[in-house]
Amino acid sequence: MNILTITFKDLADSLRKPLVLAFMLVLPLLQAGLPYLAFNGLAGGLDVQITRVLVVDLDQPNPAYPEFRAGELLTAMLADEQLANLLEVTLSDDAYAARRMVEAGQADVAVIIPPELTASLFEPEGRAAVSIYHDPTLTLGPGIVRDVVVNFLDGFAGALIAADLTTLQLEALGQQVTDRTRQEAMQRYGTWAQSVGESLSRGVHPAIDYGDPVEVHQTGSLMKAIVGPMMAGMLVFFAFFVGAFAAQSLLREDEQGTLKRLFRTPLSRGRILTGKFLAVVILLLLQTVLLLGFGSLLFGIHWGAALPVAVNGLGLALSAAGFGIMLISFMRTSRQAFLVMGGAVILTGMAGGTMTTTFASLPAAFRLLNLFTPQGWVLRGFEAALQGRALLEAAVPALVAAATGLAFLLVGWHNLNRRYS
Amino acid sequence: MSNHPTAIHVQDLRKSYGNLAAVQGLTFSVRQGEIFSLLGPNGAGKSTTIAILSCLVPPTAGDATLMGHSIRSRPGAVKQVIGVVPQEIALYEDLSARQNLLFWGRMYGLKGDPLRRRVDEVLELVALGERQNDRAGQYSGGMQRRLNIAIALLHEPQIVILDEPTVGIDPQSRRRILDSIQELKRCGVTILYTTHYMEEAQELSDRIAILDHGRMIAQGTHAELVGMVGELSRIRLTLSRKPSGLLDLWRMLASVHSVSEENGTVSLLVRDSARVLPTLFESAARETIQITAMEVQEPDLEAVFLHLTGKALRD
Ligand SMILES: Nc1ncnc2c1ncn2[C@@H]1O[C@H](COP(=O)(O)OP(=O)(O)OP(=O)(O)O)[C@@H](O)[C@H]1O
Ligand SMILES: [Mg+2]
Repeated sequence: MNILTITFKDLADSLRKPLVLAFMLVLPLLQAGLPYLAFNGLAGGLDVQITRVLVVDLDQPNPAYPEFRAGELLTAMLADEQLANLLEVTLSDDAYAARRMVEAGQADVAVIIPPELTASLFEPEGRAAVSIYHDPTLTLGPGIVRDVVVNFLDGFAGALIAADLTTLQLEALGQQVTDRTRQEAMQRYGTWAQSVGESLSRGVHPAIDYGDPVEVHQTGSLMKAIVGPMMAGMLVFFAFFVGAFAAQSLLREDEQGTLKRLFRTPLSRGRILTGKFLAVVILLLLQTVLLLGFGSLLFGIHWGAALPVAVNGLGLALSAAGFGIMLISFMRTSRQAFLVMGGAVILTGMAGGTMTTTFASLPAAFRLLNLFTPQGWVLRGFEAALQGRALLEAAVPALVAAATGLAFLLVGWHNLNRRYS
Repeated sequence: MSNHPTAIHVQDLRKSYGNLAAVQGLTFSVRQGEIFSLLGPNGAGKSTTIAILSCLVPPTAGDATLMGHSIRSRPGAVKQVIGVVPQEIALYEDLSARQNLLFWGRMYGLKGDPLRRRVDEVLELVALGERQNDRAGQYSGGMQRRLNIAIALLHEPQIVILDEPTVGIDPQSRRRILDSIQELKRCGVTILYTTHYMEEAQELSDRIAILDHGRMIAQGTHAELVGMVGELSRIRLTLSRKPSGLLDLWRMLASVHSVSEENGTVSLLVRDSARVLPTLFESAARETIQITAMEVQEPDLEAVFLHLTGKALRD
């Protein structure tokens, strides 16, 4: 068990250092906590935040089935009481006047539902565009409106597919297909999709049981949607810092001659490095558990189901530890390491998207760039878990991160070995 | 002595770093229970040899066996039978002497009561018992050196290798260290010792090998080595100014064997010093150079080194 002797010595060493503790807990909590407090303060004076929405519903029903109008459904969704503290919906029937009101600052957003919306839903190739017109200086309110509309249209795209499938199936059975059958299939799908959309807007997925729904209602969904990813970003960012710091123990031991001395004991180099790697991994697991715990205690974040979160925690610890050891293996002195590693961790952390988790729409190229850093992968995993996605979706990024972590470790191992030959 | 079995056998050992040949074909044997010293100036290849023998770096060519285990094929076994005191102090300054010893003992597989007992024993041996709970970083250089040695003794190795363990410490600590090495020898431990202090090599060693530029230039007992220079004695002179042509003049004298100069100090190897000295003073006076200090040494290892390499071991 001499491996663990090394591990615990290193661990005790790290935990004695104030700088490590600062990067482990204090800074990430402050980073995620300050915006939380600021946001909560704003949410207290809610009037300022309410977005005034003008809905112009020009949609015409299909004359054969006058009781169904898609425009009406969309309007109802926007005016839903769920969104009442964010959106104030007024109806209008003049698209031109509505736009003028937005321009004049009398309304923040105008949603114009075209006359052919319902009709487009009944034609296999049907197309209709809902326009959103808003004051370009606003982002939050129009963002919510756009989300609702996109959600709704997505639901109907699904409904169309459902209707087409029903048609095909019925025809295959030799049955007569009427517009009414199509409409029924669509309406059922639409109702289902709408309930999914509503649940998602509260941060829950109907297919997953989160237990106590009351708590979900009590904490504002929007705030939670922001502070969760934000805290995940900070966790990932600072874990890589801590990994790099803790890995510096290798360099210190190199400088004080104890690494050579360890290599002179009967313990193999592989075991010595494993012992030191484990120390970094355990430190990072400790950080992850503590930050996840504080996140849910202080900010009411629901991190997702236990298994995906655990897999992500492990992926984070392995990748950050491996990354730190690889970086260290390229360094010669601790002074050099302090600067270079700080820079490397900040750059890869930013490229990995850890600082921009709350930005609504990021260019696709940046989302792609994220995945060239280990941070980007781990963050994907945590976000997927936060959104309550399936285990596979949350675990695959974590596994990629863990695998890169081990690959980094091998590179570090190779470099260190070369130093003593 | 010859009926003692071999503890260390080194055969044509070589190590190159790029173009630099640090060790160039060393061959020697150390018998069990013997103190064997490698004596040589900076860069002679002493530490490199030890790094190879302790399986820290692989040799470029050649092999060595320690207690019958080859460094090439059984490095694990070699590491278990040797205890190495590195040239640089290598310990954890944040930990106390006792914590250091407990840690390093565990690295050799010791644990529990046997480990604690052994830690007490080595603390006793290097006389650190009283300060065992102080942080090693607060120790004096001499105490750190002693702890550095104690760590290598924990697992009761059959061979102890010490790389210049007395560099830069006070005479008292040096005395303690030399005494504990004698003590180890009494317990039957084989010792490989490196130094560039000839007095130490002379005092401690059963046999000595002199190294220069990675090669062994002589080996034997102190008496055998000194016998190589015969009746030659060594004279060290300090001159008032740069000697220029004077040294060439001296080199031509029949009883002067060799002359070397470094930083104003001239070393000469001469036969019958009493006869030569007046001649040296006269010729210096003719060149208007004053001899400001003078020292005549009976034949010693320094003289051997001067004799074999034409340069001084120190300075
Ligand atoms: N890792 C290395 N890379 C390159 N050259 C090295 C390395 N280690 C030693 N050398 C060179 O090998 C030669 C022998 O060095 P070594 O340390 O063995 O000498 P030494 O006899 O122990 O000297 P000292 O008395 O100064 O400790 C020196 O020229 C040194 O610069
Ligand atoms: Mg040396």
